[in-house]
Amino acid sequence: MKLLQYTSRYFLAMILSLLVLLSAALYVSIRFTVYKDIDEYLINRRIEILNVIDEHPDIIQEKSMYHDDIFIASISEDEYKKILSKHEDGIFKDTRKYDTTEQEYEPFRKLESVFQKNNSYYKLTITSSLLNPQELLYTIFFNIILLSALLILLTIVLNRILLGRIWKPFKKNIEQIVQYRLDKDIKPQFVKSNITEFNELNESLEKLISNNLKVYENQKQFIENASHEMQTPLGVMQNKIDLLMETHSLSDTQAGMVDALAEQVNRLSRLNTTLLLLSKIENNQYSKNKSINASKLIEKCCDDFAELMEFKSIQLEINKDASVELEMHPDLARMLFSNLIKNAINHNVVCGFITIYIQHHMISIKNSGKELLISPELLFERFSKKSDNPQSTGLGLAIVKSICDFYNFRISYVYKDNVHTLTIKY
Amino acid sequence: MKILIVEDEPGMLSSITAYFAKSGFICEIATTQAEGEEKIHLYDYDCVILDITLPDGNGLTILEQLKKKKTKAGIIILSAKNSLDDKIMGLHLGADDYLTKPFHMTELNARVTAIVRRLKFEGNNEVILGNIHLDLDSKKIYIENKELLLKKKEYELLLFFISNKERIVSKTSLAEHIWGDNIDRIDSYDFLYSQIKNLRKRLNEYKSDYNIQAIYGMGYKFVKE
Repeated sequence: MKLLQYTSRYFLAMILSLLVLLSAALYVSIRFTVYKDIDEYLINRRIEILNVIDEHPDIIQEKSMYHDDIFIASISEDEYKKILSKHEDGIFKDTRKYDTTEQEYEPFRKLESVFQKNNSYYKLTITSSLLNPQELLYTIFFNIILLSALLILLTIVLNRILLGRIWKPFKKNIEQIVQYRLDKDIKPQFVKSNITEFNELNESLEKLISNNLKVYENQKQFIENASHEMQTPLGVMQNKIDLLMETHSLSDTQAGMVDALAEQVNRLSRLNTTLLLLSKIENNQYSKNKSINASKLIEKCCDDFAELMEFKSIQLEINKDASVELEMHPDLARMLFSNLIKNAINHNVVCGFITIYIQHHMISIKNSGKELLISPELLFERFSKKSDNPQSTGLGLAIVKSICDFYNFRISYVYKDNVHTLTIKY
Repeated sequence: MKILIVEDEPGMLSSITAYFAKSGFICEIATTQAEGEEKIHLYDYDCVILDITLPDGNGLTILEQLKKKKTKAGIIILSAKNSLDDKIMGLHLGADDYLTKPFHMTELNARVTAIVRRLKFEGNNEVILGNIHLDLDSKKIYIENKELLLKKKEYELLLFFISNKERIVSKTSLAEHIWGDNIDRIDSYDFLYSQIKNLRKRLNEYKSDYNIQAIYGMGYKFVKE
């Protein structure tokens, strides 16, 4: 759930419940005031009427003198006493009366009280219309509802617009962080915001990135330096072994051991050279590009391996559908294609084939061969090759991948019907 | 034949010196840039082997001075940095060859031999060993005036053997020489073995004075039969 939704939800629930409570409280209090007011009026009216009756007792009989809000009826003594004992000041009741002009029932408040005059007992009923106060109450209630609705609507709209605007730089920055790669040279440019917290976050992120970048650079530099430093001792070892071989007094066992040593030192130095190359590619030390004709280069690489293909009886076919010019460092271009072709020969079978397609946006190399022992996803990883061949460093395809990454080429691998296909899209 | 070796790493220096001394070269050594400069001003050499990184400077400075002196010496640069810039710079300044550490002594020997040969037989680019004649320009081989046709890699192997005649050539150095700086070498030595076998057979057929001899456990030697 988005923060905006999350806060809005609670915010709205709060406003809604508050408004309901407030409306209820308002209703009750206004109603209380209205009833109190009307009841007071009825009491005063009763006092007024009783005063008039005291002065002119005969008025009781003069029905024509009555206002239509007054009604006097004679009652028995028992009834008089019964009512008086219960309600000395009279009973207040809500009632409805039929309004002939409006032709509908309307709410009324009535006061029933009893009095005694000249040994006769009477019941006095005074009514007062509740219509005006009730309408007022309804109006107020309706207004409150309308106000609430407007308030809620406004809150939602404001939230959308305002919060949307506040979060916009944040979202942009998130996008940049998602796209950021430590091994690419593009640093994210954070959008400034008016919100202090967001700016603080940006600053922390910038600091984090630059720190990580520094560590990463150091690490890369370290690998390169370490590989450099190893070159000389390896060279010394190799040279000493060469000299040792020249010694005439070596027995066959000793000679075998020297040979094994030579083999391992050689492997070590090739590994080292390869690591050095990988770190150099990653350290952007191959930046001088030239336009390379892919077909020419591929043909030259194939020519270098021609005798080897002949040795393994491999049929080579190059299909040139387009003339492709690649902007690459000449060394890397040569390494890329010679590694790919060498790979196609190495993992081929006797009397197999290699077919190379050079097209407008891709170059693919197909070769016959047995299925790989490792999963295709691991193919381009360093040292992932489970090869029984001690000569292999397991870094050939890692170099290919590194070079492809460096130039933003996409490389993919498919194995189908005993055919390996490596495709480079550029 | 007099060579100067400018190299600060004692282990490497002693190996190179020992190896070339055995071939009958007179070896002089220098371990710093200053020492190297002093030596090249005092003496003339047939070949100078120059390490680029020196404790007190750069081997390329010595190279510049050698060129200023209009030396006739062949110059080979050694570098631990497999850097293209160094290579281009070195060759641009007039070095004859460039070799990256670590290297095989047989490889260095072949390069030095090639340079010395070029300087010695100005223009006449030919190698003669026993009854074997090699024309380096046309890449043609004659044994007793009969032309021996070889494939490219076989020719390269033969030349490498001739440059390293009477010395043990390990199979790793042969493979390295043939495949150059290809990162992952070709699968096994099968191809190499078949090439050598073939070459040996051809040399036999043509009754060459020299042929390849297998040295148990270590490699091969090009010896007089």
